[in-house]
Amino acid sequence: MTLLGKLAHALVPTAMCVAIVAPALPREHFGEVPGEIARALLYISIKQTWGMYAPDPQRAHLVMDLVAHYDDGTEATLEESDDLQTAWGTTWAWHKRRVDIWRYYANFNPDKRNDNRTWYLRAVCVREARSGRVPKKITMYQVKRRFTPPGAVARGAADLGEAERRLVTVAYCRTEPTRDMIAEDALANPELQRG
Amino acid sequence: MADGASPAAARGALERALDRVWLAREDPYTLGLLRIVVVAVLTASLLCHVGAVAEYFSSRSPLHGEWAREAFPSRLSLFFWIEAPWAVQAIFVLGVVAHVAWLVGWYTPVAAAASWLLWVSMCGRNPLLYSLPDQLQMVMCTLLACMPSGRALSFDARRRGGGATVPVWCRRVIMVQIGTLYTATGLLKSGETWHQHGTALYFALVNPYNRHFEAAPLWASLQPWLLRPMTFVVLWWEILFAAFVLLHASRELLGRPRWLPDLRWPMLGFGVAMHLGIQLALYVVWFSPLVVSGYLAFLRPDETRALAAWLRARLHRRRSVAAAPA
Repeated sequence: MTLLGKLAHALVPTAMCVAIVAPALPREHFGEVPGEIARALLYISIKQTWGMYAPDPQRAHLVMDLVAHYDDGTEATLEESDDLQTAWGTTWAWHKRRVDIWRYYANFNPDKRNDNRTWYLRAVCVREARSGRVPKKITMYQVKRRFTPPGAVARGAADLGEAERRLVTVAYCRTEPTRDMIAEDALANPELQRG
Repeated sequence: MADGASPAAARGALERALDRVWLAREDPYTLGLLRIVVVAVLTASLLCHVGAVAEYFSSRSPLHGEWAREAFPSRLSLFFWIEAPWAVQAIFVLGVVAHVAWLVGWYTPVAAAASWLLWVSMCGRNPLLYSLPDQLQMVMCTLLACMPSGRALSFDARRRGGGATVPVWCRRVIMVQIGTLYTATGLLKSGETWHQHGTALYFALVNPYNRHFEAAPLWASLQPWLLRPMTFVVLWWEILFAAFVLLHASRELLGRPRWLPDLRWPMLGFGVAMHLGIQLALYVVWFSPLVVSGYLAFLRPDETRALAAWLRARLHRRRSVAAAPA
């Protein structure tokens, strides 16, 4: 192989290493480059940010509690709220669905804007509309239980604190784009419409 | 004279450096084994989608059409454009077939590309269905798909006959990936539970989001003398992993001199034990098997062959004992 050929071949692993290492470099020292590379890789769903249990592991468990409000003044708790009864024990692979991961992301940053939450709640509007009853709005609460520090648990305290419930947001099902999503879903999935 | 010789000498030195670091050829056995183990995990993970494929990725999803594209605008996915449930399910089935072909090394490059396209399409269509441990699946799938992983332990290799080799960069890139993963996460663990209180492992073990056992009183009793010291050991093991990769790479490049110790057994042995513990105690999707599979990249092909021969001999002995008349 010629030197040029070798250089071209060596570019492959070199580029791979740059794609692996660069997104993990601190922005304060390396400027915009790590972010640019990370954004480019995201196009093919590659994320090289490895923040498992960082900066600290979670010290509270959050559960979504959704209440649908209808035109006739009635209210109903939605399937997400089942977790209020079941989410405080253990988790095994066969209990977990990938939708639970979406709910987890939708629960992040209750005090800030969270697009994952916005789209999740719009999707919930579509899901509920399939039952034939389109909710007017959906109120999202978050229930949080803090983990007791190990010293207190060793002295006999419960491992999970009292449940704290708070209002997070209200999603309206008849505003844009949710209204169009519901109409489009009725056309695309007539067999799923139960009403 | 010296002026005339310098460019040629420099070119020669550059070629030797490129060969030594990336391009030297080696027996493809380790890479073949890595392919089998990683693709087996990917296939198992893929099969866990069965029953929900249309619900997750087709127009049956409550988030579909132009709104799915609007929700995840920075992603690539076939399923943004192919949405009919039957078509999505058919692509998924083809993807499963591609995974099996990749696993056994049958038309490996095509099978790898098709498998990769399926994963990109699933993760891109709704990235929020995939958690942080799932990231490693996409990364390993992409890296392996870019490598000539079908040159050993495969139908392709059998068809072509022996004598194939692969460049050493294949194993080294995986080593860089594993080193980056651990050190990056170690450095990001800057909170007080890791550095001051030593309670990080305790809090990870008692989180109902992914704990396997409700054993908080037991963990609390083990906290002072086991979990607290282990928290600091795990943190520093992760932070120092990139240094270990650098040391190991230097050792390989220098021809394994005696003055540079081989730290693979303590470092990787600790990693295997830690991941076994994590897998036992916590639900972490396929993270542990996948990352431990990556450890194979630290084994030279002669070591992998010796390991495989030892395992085969043990299995053979066990079968012989079982078959012997009483």
